[in-house]
Order: sequence, then structure tokens, then C-alpha cells
Amino acid sequence: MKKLLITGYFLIFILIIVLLGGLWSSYRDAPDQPIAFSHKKHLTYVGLECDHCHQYAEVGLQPGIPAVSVCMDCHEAVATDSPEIIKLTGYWNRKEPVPWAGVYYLPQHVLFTHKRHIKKGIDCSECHGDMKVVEKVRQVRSLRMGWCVTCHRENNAPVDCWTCHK
Amino acid sequence: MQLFDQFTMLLSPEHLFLVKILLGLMLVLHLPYIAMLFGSSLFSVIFRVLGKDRSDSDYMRFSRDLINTFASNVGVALLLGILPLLVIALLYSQLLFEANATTLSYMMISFLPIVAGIILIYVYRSLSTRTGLLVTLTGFLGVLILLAGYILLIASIVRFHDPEKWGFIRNPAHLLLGWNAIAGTNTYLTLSLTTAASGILFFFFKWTEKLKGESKTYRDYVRNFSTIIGLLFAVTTPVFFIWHLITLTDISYSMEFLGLAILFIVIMGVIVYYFSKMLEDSNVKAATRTFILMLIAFAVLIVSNHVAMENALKEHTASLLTKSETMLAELLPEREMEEGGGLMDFAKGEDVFKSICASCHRFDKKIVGPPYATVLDKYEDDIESLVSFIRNPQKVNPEYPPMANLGLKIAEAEAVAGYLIKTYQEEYK
Repeated sequence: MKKLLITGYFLIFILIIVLLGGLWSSYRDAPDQPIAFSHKKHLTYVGLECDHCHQYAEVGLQPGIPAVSVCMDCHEAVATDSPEIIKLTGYWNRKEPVPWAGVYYLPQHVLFTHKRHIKKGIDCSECHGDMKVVEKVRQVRSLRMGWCVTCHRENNAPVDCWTCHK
Repeated sequence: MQLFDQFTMLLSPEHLFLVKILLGLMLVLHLPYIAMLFGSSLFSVIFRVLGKDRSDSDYMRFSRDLINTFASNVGVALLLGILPLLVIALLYSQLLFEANATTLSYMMISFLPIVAGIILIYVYRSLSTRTGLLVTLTGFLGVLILLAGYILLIASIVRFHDPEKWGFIRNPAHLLLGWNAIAGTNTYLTLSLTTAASGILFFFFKWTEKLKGESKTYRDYVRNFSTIIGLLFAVTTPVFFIWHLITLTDISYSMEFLGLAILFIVIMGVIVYYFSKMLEDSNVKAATRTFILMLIAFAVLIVSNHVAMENALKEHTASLLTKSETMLAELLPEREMEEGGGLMDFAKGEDVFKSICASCHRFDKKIVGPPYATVLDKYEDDIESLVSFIRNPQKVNPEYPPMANLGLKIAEAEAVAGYLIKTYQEEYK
């Protein structure tokens, strides 16, 4: 019995190490994007505002991913010899959208509107972190219900279920 | 938090790296020492009470030996127990500059009970040869206060991984409200007791051969007690650690963190094996190896926590570094002015135009920004305003995207402004 216990304990050890090893080898901190777009470069150095590209954030549920034409407004002339802009121009010439990988997802039973939060003066960085310094985007908030509810309470926003679960 | 920010400053990437190394080093020196002091004094007080209750002289002797071994030198307490606290406070304040981390305040509060606990334990040690309830009470209080401070310190360190929760921690008790905090704190506590147990085996049997002249019964008792306690807590440490891993926020993970987690579990597996082998063979052959591995495990755990915090604060750190870069960029042109820069240079202005401005501007047509011919007239008699605009562009016409801050030095901005006005007047006016 004692031997069985010891063997079992060490087998669990090995199993956990194998599982962690699997997680280690497949780990990605943020999804890889088809073009290495730098928020830092565009927000800090160029001085663009979030809504310059995410044009529907103030008026809709979703902020909107900018169309290639928005990028090409500037990049038809700017940095045209950069490898990433060459990739962008390729999408533009082929008339294809850039297949950006999604970073933030909410379950379907949650109704979240960007418009309402922005109108209440919640800064984009409250949920997305300081994008002015971000090169590769990752999810910086858990988006769990407890987090949403606590923030609602702190800002005297409604906390009844129906607010988010229509 | 603002109070701590007053004593810190923006750092360059090199300084930040140095701060991280120093902090890791301080924690690796401080936490295992506190772990052993806490474990040994806890066992010492327990054996003192048991010894009195059962009138057992071996228990009383073990109690005295424990406290005399692990609390032997006041200098060590000062060097490993108290001084690192001040350095740790300063380094964490530096790392969490402008992070608004409430947990930082509670970490600072923990220093008081830690120092008070260390003092009381040393008083208990100096009185340990005497009998009396007051001595036991001093030891008991010392252990309790040290434990309170230690829990507060490690719970704060664990909480640094989760910036999302900082706003909800409004008193020290909130530090422990959360499965991740409970699991993380218990990982350190069980590891501390394992370290103390392996420390007893090492210092009693290997370091000075303290027990060489002692009776076999006493030697066997010390060995059995330490091995069983060590095995018990070594077995439970990985359980709490895995629990801590499972409940950790996603942003704290990274490949480095997972690698360190695997290393920690492997080391703990070897430690469990050594303890069980020593218990089975009734010897202390592996005591030195176990103790060294315990110290390594402690260091790996500390570094893994450090990495987890760094991952969670990646954006905050990047923000601080960007600010320090901006500050440096603002300082450099000022210095350049002091050194006599800023002279107009037509040829250099043309170079700046061709290499930077021409990406978006022409004199006679729209590229990204407006044609110069339509906007330069207002600057003809006010070149300073143009220089100022080039160095700090503001959005003027909503039909155009805002102009990028190009980070030009004052001499470059003045040269290109001169070139633009001159070319405009000569060719496009």
C-alpha cells in the first residue's frame, strides 16, 4: 500500500510535468497577426487617436477593425518600402481584407457596447491597457463577470443581470 | 502609493534590469532566512511547551538547540532579516512606480511585524535557558508576529501578479481573499517549513556535527522529526503550487514562467524523494543535498513569482520606459542648445526634408499631409512657430491625419524650417 502511494504520487508528478511541458511548448502570449502592426508607433510617435482607426467605438457595439483603405490613406506614400507595408499593399492590390486575429472575445450571452462605456467617460485603457506602449496586442483584463460587476459598482452603473444579459 | 513614488524616478531600461536583478537577489537572501527562522522558532516553542507538559528533557534540549542554532547571531538577523527589507521596499517602489498598487502599502506594513517578530525571537533565544511562562510567551508572540508579517509580505508579493485586483484590496485581510493568493501564500509557508526541516538536518548533522556527542535516542528523535516534517511539507508544497498555477491570471504566464514552474516541480520531486529515502533508510546521508536543493527551490519560486509579476506589468513597464525615453529626448535638444546648436543650415535642411518630411509632404501636391504651398504663408514671418509645430505637431485640419512627432533635434527643426520657407518663397509663392 505504501509503495503504491509513493508510486502514485510520483506518477502524478510526472503527469503534471508532462502537462506543463505541453503547455510550455504550445504557449503564445498573444495571437500572431498577419502584419506586425505596432500600436505604439501609431499612437505615440504618429500621434493618432484610437478612433482614427476604430471609427465605430463611439457609435456602436463594436469598435470596428479599420478597413485596408484607412491604412492606405497614409501608407500609399509612407514607409512604402517597409516589409510590413509591402504585405499591406499586397492585401490592398488583391482587394482582400487583412485577416487580423481577434484578441478580445466575450461570450455570446454578454451584450457589451463600446458606445455606452465611452459615453460614460471610461477610457479605452481601462479595459485594453495602455495601448500607446504596446507592440503586439494581448488581452490584459480577464473580462470575467466579477471584474465587470466590480467596475460597475465602483462607477454606480447598474448591476442587475439584464444590463448585460439580454 | 504617491508617497512611495516621491522617492523613486523614471528609469532607463538598463537601470530597470539592474533593479530587477537586485530585487531578486534581496528576496533570495531574505525569504529563506525568514523561512528558517520562523520554522525553527515555531518548532522550538512547540517543543518547549511539550517538554514542560511531559517533563521531557530531550524535548527541552531540542527546543534550546533549535533556537540557538537558527537565531545564533544578531549580525545575521540584521544582515539577512532587517536590512534587506529596506532595500526590497525601495526596489518594489521603483518597479511599481506610478502603478497605483495598493498592495505595495500593505507590503510596507508587513515590515513592522517582521522586525518586531525577529526582535522577540532573539529575546526568546537569549532567555531560553531560563524557565518560566514569560519566556515561552515571548517565543510564542515572536513566532506569531513574525508569521503575521511574513504572511502579509508573501501575500503582497503574490498579489503583485494580479493588477486587476489591486483596486479591490482595501485592507490587509483582502490580500488573502482569493484562491490564487491563498494557494500562493501557502506554497511559501509549506516551503518555509520544509526548508526549516531540511535546515535542521543540515545544521545539526552535517554543518557542525552538533549532535556528535549526544545520545542515540536524541539523535534519532531529531532526525525522525525533521525527516517526517520535511517530507510532509515537501509533499504538500507542489499541491499548493499547482493550485496557484491553475488560478493565476492569464497575463502572468509566459514561456519563462512555465519553464521555471516545471523546474520548481522537478526540484520538489527530487526533494520528496530524498526525504522519503532518508526516512526509509533511517539516515541523513542526503541532508546536505536536500538543503541545497531546498535553497535552489526557494530561489526558483522567488524568480518565477518575479517573472509572473513582470509579465503582468509588461504594459506598465513599457509605459514607464516610453516616458523615460521621451524625457531623455526632451533633455537632449536642450543640452544641444546649451552647447551652441541651432544654427540655420540650408543644406542640412534639405537633407532633413528629403529623408523625413518628403514621405508625407510635397510643396505643390497632397501626399499624406497638405501641400506646403497652401500652409506655409502663415509662417513666413514667424519661423519660430513653424519650428515649434515641427517639434510638437498639433492636428489643424480634420481632413488630414495628425502629423507624427518626428523627434527632430532643435537644430534639425530650425534647419528644415528655414529650408521650407526659403524654397516656398523662391519657387512656389
